Amino acid sequence: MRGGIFWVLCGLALLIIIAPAVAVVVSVLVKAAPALRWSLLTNTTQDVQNPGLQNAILGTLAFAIGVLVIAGPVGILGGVYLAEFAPRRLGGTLRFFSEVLAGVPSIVVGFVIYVALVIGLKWGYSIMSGVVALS
Amino acid sequence: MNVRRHAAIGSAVLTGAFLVAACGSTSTPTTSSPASTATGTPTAAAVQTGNPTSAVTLTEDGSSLLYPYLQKLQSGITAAYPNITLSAAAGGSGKGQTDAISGAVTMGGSDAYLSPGQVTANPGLLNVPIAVSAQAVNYNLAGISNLKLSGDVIAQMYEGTITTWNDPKIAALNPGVTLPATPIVPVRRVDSSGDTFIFTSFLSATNTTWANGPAFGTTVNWPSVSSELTANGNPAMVDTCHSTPGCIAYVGVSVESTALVDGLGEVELENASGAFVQPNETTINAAVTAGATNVPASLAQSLIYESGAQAYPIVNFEYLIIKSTQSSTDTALAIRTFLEWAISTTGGATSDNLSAVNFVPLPTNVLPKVNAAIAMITG
Amino acid sequence: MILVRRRAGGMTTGPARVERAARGDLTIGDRVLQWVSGIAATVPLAGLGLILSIMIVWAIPAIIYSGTTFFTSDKFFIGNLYSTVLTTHNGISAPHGAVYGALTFIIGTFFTSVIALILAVPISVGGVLMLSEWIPRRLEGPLSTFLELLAGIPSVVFGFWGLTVLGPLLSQHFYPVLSHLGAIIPFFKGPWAYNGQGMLTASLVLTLMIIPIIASTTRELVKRVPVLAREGALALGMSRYEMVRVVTIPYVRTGIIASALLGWGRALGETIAVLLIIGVAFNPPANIYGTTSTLASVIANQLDEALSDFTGMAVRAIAELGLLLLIISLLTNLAGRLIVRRISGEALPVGRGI
Repeated sequence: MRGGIFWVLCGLALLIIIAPAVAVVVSVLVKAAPALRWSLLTNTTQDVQNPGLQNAILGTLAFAIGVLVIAGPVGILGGVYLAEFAPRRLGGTLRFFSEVLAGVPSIVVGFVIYVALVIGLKWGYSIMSGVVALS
Repeated sequence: MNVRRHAAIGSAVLTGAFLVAACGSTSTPTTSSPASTATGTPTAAAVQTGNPTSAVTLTEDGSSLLYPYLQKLQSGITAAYPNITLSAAAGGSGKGQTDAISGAVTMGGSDAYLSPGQVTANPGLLNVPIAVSAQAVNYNLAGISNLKLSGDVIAQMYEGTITTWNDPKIAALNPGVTLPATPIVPVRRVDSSGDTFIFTSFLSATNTTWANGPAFGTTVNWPSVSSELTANGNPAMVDTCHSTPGCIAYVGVSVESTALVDGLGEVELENASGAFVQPNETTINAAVTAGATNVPASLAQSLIYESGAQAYPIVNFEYLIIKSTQSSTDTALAIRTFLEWAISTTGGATSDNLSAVNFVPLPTNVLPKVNAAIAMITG
Repeated sequence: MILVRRRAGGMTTGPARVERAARGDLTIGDRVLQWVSGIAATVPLAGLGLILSIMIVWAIPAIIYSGTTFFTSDKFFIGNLYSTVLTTHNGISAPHGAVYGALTFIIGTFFTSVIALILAVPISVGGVLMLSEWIPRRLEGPLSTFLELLAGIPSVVFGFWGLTVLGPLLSQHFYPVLSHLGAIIPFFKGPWAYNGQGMLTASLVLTLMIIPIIASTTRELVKRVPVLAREGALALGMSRYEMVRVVTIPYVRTGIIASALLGWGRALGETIAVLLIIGVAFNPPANIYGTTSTLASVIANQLDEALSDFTGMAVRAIAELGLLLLIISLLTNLAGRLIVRRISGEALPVGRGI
């Protein structure tokens, strides 16, 4: 009896996990459907008649590539060091701290980069600042 | 973030001696020489303009009230001067101000002039008005058109002391109208907004509790009202009000047409002379004529709650915040050219462009001071 | 994997150049690699140190200005920027009337993340148990992959969905029902915003966002429960429910606590989704549906306005808020990972939106 109730609740839990995720994806697709045209890819958001997403898409790609170019080698090389060369203790500590870095809230990283690079070093709003932050 | 605390006095910088184009001139100027000091009354012809030798993109962001107007100007400026491109964005007037100060953009769009503190901290920044705009107050009540309200009553709505639409104070202003018992849902801007600046200036001018409390600014200490909603940007104000029965929101006139199409009502506001008016060309012009008689050289002038039977109470100059010293002569030339073109009635300030966003052109008596400010932009 | 043991008598395997190093020496190529990769390995630590020190240095003027009122005052106002009068505390000047109290945001952050955690842990664990015990093998794979993908949905998408779909749905159908609880607990009595903006909606969306983290980690842990122990329990005649209660849960209990801490870390730092949904108010909510702000959302929201403060104090105050958020997040993250190391000796997967 108690087992039955327990599994019903678990089934409900699984539903609560799956359903909203599906709902999010579906409702975004549904709301976006009327706006899906080829001009999304060719026009920029500045275009008054038929605004598209070209600059946003290119910007996202630029970020992705930039981050890959910077974070990729640094991450891989760092991993190589930890696996191949690091003495036990040091390796453990370094690994631990890189995991902790992953827990820094993104808004804090964004704030630091904004104040330090965008304003402090006067890089201005730039892809470089963003790439450094995301890396 | 360096705050340079110079002892410079804001307005003195703008009216005192200014640089005579020491940077020299490169491209083909359409006029003779730069305007001289305060003795002359500079006309548009005296300011050096022309097509720059290399392509210049003028970046702008800030006011969401100004943004639709700049969108209208984008194609025209490049048609008139092929080497000048305008790239505009909206993010709130406060952002426009700070981005112009930090140099992230060339021009910062703002419905609010720079604060005294900002002027002191950043000498060499100019407020350049390019048009006159206004702000409407919209509401969502089915079947009720042309509701009359005063600034005092609206302030009490945003303070939370008037909570339902059938409150006696509202009924007193609207005799003969049956008001529903719907709760009032005030909507406010959550971004650093020039619309908030002019709206709160209006509330401060009409309600003493508000003037002594939140006062005015691009962000204020809004009184806590439990039903209050927030929106980011002018279009979002319209959207939120459209989907919320009983809402009241302040909306810049440049998006007012969307609000009316969406079925929102436009409030008839009580002006300083006691008449109830809506924003249109006549009422906005009446306000700016009354308010622009003695504009300081810094061009920081409020046009709120002007007197006059026909004056609309929430009217403002639309400013572009620009550094007087630019990085290159081409950029400075491009900026001066764009500004002169934008304020000219044959260039950007055509009646088509202006009426599409419900703006009116700058009054003629202000133009010499505007030209003087534009002439100070050098590189 | 190439193992290079530098102690005497080490056995080595691998290509010729390593064999040349059988005596324990490294070639020049190896040494270069060692140094370059060593520098790369310290980047995370250096980055962390840099972020922490920048935040501390930036926040100092605000810390001096506010003193303890930072923790005791629920009023946060950057001051009247159009006034020429300045307010001064402890030798530092800020715009007229500026108060930088973080209490509202501490309450908001605490409430939203704790509610999200209290809801997310049982749901995740229950769902995972369901997945591992009852769902047929064929479906289990795709569903597990689906779970991993959930963690990758960008938070701005969640925020947008929460504002336009979930908020109105909750405010029109669910909250009226929930407000009946208000008869017993006044905190649950209305009113609430028409479009659902507010603390409860934000907490519910946060719940949905941290479920994938807790669920996928729990899934890994459940898979590691020894098969013999589980089958033995079933063979002894226990029902599946009893088996789960007696065998599985004790095995995974500490791991769940650790993953809950990590999920909490994500909830604390969640910015965009909360910003869109929580309504941006600078006072504690009047009831559970009320609008307020969290540490993360207020930083994102106020930064533009703070930059227009000519004294520069507003940015320092934001830095102080950010420092508080950083310290809280680091502590919960640290605690979570330390517990994990203690039980399993391995690290939890990084990068699942954690």
